[in-house]
Amino acid sequence: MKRNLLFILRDWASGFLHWRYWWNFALLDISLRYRRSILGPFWLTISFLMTAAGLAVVYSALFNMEIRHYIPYLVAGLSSWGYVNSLINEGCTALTRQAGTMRDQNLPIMAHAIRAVVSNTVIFGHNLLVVAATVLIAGTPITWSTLFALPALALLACNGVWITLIFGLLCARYRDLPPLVSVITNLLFLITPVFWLRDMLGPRGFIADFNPLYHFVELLRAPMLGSMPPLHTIIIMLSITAFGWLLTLLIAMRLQTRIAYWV
Amino acid sequence: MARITARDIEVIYPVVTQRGQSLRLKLMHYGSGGILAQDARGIVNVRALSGIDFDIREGDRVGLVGRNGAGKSTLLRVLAGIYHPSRGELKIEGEVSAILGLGLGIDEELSGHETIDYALMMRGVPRDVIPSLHDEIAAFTELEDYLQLPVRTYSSGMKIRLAFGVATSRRPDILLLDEGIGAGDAFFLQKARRRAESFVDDASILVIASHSDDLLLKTCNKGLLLDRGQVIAAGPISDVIEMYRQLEYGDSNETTEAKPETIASSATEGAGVAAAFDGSVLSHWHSTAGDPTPWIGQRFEEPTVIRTVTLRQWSGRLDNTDCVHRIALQTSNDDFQRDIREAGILEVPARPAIHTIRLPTTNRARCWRVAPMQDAAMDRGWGVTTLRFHVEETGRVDKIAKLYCDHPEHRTLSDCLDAMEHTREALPTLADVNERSCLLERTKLHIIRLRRGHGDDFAAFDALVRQHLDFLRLNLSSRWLISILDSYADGGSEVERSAAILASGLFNWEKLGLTRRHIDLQRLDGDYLGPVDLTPFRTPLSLWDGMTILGIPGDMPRAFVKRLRRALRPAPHLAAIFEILLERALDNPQGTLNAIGGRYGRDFKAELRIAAEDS
Repeated sequence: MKRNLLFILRDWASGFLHWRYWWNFALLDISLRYRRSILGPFWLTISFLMTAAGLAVVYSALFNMEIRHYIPYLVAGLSSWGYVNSLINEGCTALTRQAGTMRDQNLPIMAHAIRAVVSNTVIFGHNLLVVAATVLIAGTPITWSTLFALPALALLACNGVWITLIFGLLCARYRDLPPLVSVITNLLFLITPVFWLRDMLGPRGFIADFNPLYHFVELLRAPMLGSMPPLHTIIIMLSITAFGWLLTLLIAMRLQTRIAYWV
Repeated sequence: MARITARDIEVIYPVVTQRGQSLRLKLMHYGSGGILAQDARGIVNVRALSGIDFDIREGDRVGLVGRNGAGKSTLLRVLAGIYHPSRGELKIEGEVSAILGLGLGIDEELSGHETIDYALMMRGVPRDVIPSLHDEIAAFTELEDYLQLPVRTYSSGMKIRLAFGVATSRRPDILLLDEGIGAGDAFFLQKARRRAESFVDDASILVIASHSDDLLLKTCNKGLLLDRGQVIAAGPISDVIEMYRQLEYGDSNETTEAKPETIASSATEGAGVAAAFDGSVLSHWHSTAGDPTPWIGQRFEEPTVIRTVTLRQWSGRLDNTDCVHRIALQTSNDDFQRDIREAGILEVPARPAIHTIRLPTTNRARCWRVAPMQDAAMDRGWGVTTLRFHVEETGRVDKIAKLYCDHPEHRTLSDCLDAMEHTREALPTLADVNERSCLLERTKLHIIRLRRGHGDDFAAFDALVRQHLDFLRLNLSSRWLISILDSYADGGSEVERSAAILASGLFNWEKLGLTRRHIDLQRLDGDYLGPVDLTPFRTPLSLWDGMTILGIPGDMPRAFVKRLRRALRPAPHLAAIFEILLERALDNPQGTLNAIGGRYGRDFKAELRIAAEDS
């Protein structure tokens, strides 16, 4: 028990210390994905731009909203959702994808998890350009609260690491999990206020509040639109972070020594 | 300061599967050394290592020896910190670098140059040190312009160069190498060995798992012999390799006395695995009390693995720390004791206890087919025991031939054959050694004698092969078939010689000193084929699947095979052997030949013990 705990903590610490590995390999992952393509990761940005534009035209009409206000909301929401979604879904495969490395090299599991999170964060950075451009063009106010986007992003990434660890470990063991997780996130997407507003739920606003992913998205979206996220969102996110890491620790203590056999 | 200390290490390897049952059968079929057990949730637990104890100190170069699936790679992974022992203690002092597979864990799209850089980054090398190390590694690999190509285009040998260069560039305290190193060509191996040696001068440790005796003897000074997840011998490398050979083939060129201090014991009570080493002949002894039934005891002169001592009505104990001169019996069955006493061979005190009995040796009538004897004993109403000593199947066959060959009284082939027949007659229970397996054994005997240079009887061998061609080629393992080809390469007619060299060379390139990339078949036989570049065959050879390279690429172009067939046409019997080898090679999904095939190979694999209820 104590031996396992020490082992996990050492693994985590040395995972952070392997920054040369996760930083360089995260960038490598992105560049390999777009090897020999001219626009590279900007294809993601373009596809994101197209989706956002299409949705904006249709939904602003549907919801009868002014397009100038709707577009920044949609773009910020979609990019935040995309980030959270990729953290969860890629987290599922983050460890199994590195099976070859894990069987041949003794690297901390944590380093693999951070690699996946960094990679997703950098891709999110590309989409951030679209958000910035939209915000500027639409004339959304830029305030001190906008700066809060940075700690919010850091908090999301921090959550991303435990999500990757926990899902990575469980998905290596139970191969049915990745598709299941993907189904659930798709469902959650529909009930998360991303292209509609929370206020539209009226008295049923609790549906959003009980959905943790809403808080993930809101934490990042609000500062991008120039306002602070609601206090309860910040509190919920901080407790999710604490709880998540604790849970991860418990699960890792049970599973992590056996991961090399499963991947 | 490098040091590895292992105390009682056990590794249980959970293999997760939806249907543990089917995987279990599969493992049983393909042969793994682990002892398998299945728990209730459909997880197959393979006990890959158990009771591993050793100390490795600085300056040690340790060779891990053992057959496929004995646990060598698992042990290396444990030492590398990838697998975690489920029990026991492992203490490693010093920085570890390992080459466990051909891959460096980096996408093969990258060029050799990029791969070197990223591999260094993976090991946490600071950016400013990378260029100098990079140049050193690039020079070491001697891949030159190939380094600009993506790694996916490399052959196994080239990959191993790259991996070796990277792993050794930072002078780790402890270097772990898995068998892949055998994939390099001769020149590179020499270079790698020098480099490895230079480490050990730097007070570090090398642990290497390989099937190449040559490599081990030249590189290592110590050895560990693993079998079914246990260390069964440890000591100077030459001794350990000798023991392994005996274990595997019953092949001892000179009768070396196994040194007792190098023997690790795993005494067995109830059921399990025991290894025995002694100095004299494996001899069967049988009761002289009128009943010709050959009976239970054997003494082992050659290291022999005795499997699965299943004891029902009495329990026996193999005490091999004392070299199996003694078998201790504990019995409460009076009939059994009486029979033993009447047989005048053993003295078993009347009351149950652990007794030590000296087993007498007999010079004649050796018998290796133990299991059928047990069954026969049962049939005859002895009924007291289901003691089963399964002498290792593959080792057994060679052993018979070998012992007959080497026995001082049997100098000529016909003597050997006579003795063999005589044994068969003398021991009626051997009747189920039917004509066919006798035929196989006789053929092997021929081959061994021919390969040893007692080759006075090639004509008889030739006749035997021609007469029973179909039976032999379907029932002999690939190795023996290749040996047949080799025998023809030495002693056949002109036409047969060329055909045999060509066919056997294709399956055993290393023997001919060839590298994979450019096989100049002209060197094999100028008349038949011009130089052939085998680079386009992309399927990797199975480079660590056997002692030597046994394998041909599965995607060998049809045209090439056609040319080979044409070349073999003048020697139809050799062509037939070639065809079956080829078929086995192509059958295999990896496009490689299995080192152990044929009837005995399967028997051996089927012998795997399942301890499903045990754990």
